[in-house]
Amino acid sequence: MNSSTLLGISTFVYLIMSVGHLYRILFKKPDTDKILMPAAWAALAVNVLGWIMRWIETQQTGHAYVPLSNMYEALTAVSWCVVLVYLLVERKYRIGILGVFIFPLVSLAMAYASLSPNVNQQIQPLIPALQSNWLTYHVLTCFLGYSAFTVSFGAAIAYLIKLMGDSTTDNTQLLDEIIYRANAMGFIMLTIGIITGSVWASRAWGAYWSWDPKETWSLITWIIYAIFLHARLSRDWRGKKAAILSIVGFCAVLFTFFGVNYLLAGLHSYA
Amino acid sequence: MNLKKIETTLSSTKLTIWVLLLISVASIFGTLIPQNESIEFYRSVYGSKAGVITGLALNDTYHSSWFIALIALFAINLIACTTKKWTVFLRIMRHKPRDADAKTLKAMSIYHSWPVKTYKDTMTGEIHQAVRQIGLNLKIIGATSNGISFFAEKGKISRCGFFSVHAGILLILMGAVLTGFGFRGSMMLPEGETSSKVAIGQGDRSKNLDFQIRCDEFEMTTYQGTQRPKGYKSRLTIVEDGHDVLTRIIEVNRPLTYKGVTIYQASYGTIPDTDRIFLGIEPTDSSREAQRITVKLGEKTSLQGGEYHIIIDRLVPDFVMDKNCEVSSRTHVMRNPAISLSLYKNNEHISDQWLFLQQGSFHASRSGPWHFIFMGVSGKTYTGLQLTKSPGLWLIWLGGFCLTVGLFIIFFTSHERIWIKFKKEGNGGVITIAASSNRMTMFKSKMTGLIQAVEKITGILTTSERANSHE
Repeated sequence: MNSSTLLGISTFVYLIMSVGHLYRILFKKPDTDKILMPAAWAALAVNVLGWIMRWIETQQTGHAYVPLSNMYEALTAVSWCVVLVYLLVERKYRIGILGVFIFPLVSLAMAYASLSPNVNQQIQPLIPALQSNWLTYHVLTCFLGYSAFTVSFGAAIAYLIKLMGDSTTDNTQLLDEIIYRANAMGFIMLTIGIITGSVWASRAWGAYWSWDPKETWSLITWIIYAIFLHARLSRDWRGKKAAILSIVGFCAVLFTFFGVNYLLAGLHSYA
Repeated sequence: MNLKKIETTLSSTKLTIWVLLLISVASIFGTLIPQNESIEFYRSVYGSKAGVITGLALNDTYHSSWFIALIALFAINLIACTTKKWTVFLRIMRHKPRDADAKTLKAMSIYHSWPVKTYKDTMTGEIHQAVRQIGLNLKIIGATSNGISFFAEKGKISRCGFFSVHAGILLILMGAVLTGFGFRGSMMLPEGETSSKVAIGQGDRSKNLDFQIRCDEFEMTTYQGTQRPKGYKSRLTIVEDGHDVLTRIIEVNRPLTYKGVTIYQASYGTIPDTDRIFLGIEPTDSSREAQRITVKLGEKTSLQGGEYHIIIDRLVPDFVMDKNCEVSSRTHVMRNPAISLSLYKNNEHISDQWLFLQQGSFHASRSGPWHFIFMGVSGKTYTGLQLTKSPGLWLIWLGGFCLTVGLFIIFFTSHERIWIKFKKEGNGGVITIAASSNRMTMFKSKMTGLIQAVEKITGILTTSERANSHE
């Protein structure tokens, strides 16, 4: 089976998962987790397998590179990162409601990757600047960071909805804790991602920082989450304010990931 | 002025948040407005607002004085915050397990106290066990006939995270300042040539290295059957005092560092070979023959008959004329090459003119008894090197390391302290548990469990029992 078939299957399962989670929330059926959770792990496995298959296909064409070098590969990779982080959080906290936010986002990303005319699916060998192992370290750490921020975004939306509705169930406190922890994790990963990117830039271009739009936007994102963590740790911002700040942070993540590529030109323009 | 107040402001988290916000907003402008373009560019895109952009230096946001001032303010804030916490930090790090008085314990975020009938020595072991359950090791710090005190502590290192992160960021900023003492430039080195001259900035300044670089060979490979570049490679030799010191092949992502200068493969291209300018000369009458000659830049070339001679004064690869009618080259690429030719008759200057390659066949350049046609110029492949001296780089990496390690310490460790005391009162006594941590959320639930466990071990004297014991 080739990579696009496998990735297509995972996209389809993610879509069904979105519907399943909607059903779970709307009809208040937490029992469906018994099906939804194993299905999520299975979809994740297919997604990762599809991505690895893509890797194998690059070897078959004789170019052999880790598939993280264009929008198509980036989207399929970030999707499995998000689902992986989501499932780890879910396994630890058993919150249940995050899936209804995560799966629509992931299926949207996957569908966009395979259907949009803006996204080129061809395997193209790497230009010289990208031929570096730092590509893998840099991109994967950044993506894991983005994934944690995505989970925190889901928790933040869930928190705000709960606040409007049946308010003070003890779930809100747990959600607040997830927002904080996911942001902390994401912050660490983004920090490592920026540093590894900087090491790579220094080796490839001779400048560890050039204020390229992608770099600058990753710094802006970093600053927003740094503000969140300071507000939390030294001023004890919790609840609504923290949730809103997380959503703002996630908008910056989205702009760093998509906006910079489509709206601003720069050194990262190949990705 | 109130110095104390300034100090408090400078070390406040509120200032941190505001400065970080301002830096973000400035950076957003910097990404939305194209940077370092010509004034004409801003005029054509932003019209009357161009003045605002250049006035606020938004055309070079990240190097503007106000942006640097913001970063300096951030650094000051960072130093102030860090030093403010330093004394508290030292006190905690030096803290030896000791008995705390009742007042201190009562002020802790977790404080619980209850009366017991009696205290038996066997309970010590059980309490010890209960504390071990939550990952701490209890020690006896005071035992008198009046009672007994225990203390447990874990994760002192957690307090270092804050300093490691902040020191890391400061190191990075210091590294950035030190980078300013280095340089970043480029060198276009044709195969076989040697140079020590580095062009800095837009090429208007230059710098001489204290060694020379020779390009022995340049090679570009493409992916089979495509124009897509696969790799650029240069074989470089470092020359010092006329001797070859070392030879290395550099590639993109594989630079060479020599004497603190790192040499990167950045680009390649062709530049005109000034020794091989091809000129067509056609006589305007039939008394002379047409000829094709190769001339060198700046060298006198006599024409047929010996009466006339020419000199090529200048060669520009990409001809452009500015507002003041000054000729310059827009780029170093041969996009619009032109030469300036002077004609002399019996060593007397009689005319000069610009000849363009693209208009070569167009006989516009009649001069004396000749038509001159600029037929071309040989190209030389050059390797585009980037040269950087970055004396602050090691500080950047050290800072990045401290920052990352510090974050792990902050988020994965916590400093926990627990005091447990028994104090004799009448026939019975009172058990007190107090605890504190720098990460309360998880610790609170752990402590609730511990308090329940200890209550179970010692038992709680009910009010009626207590009344009885006092009789």
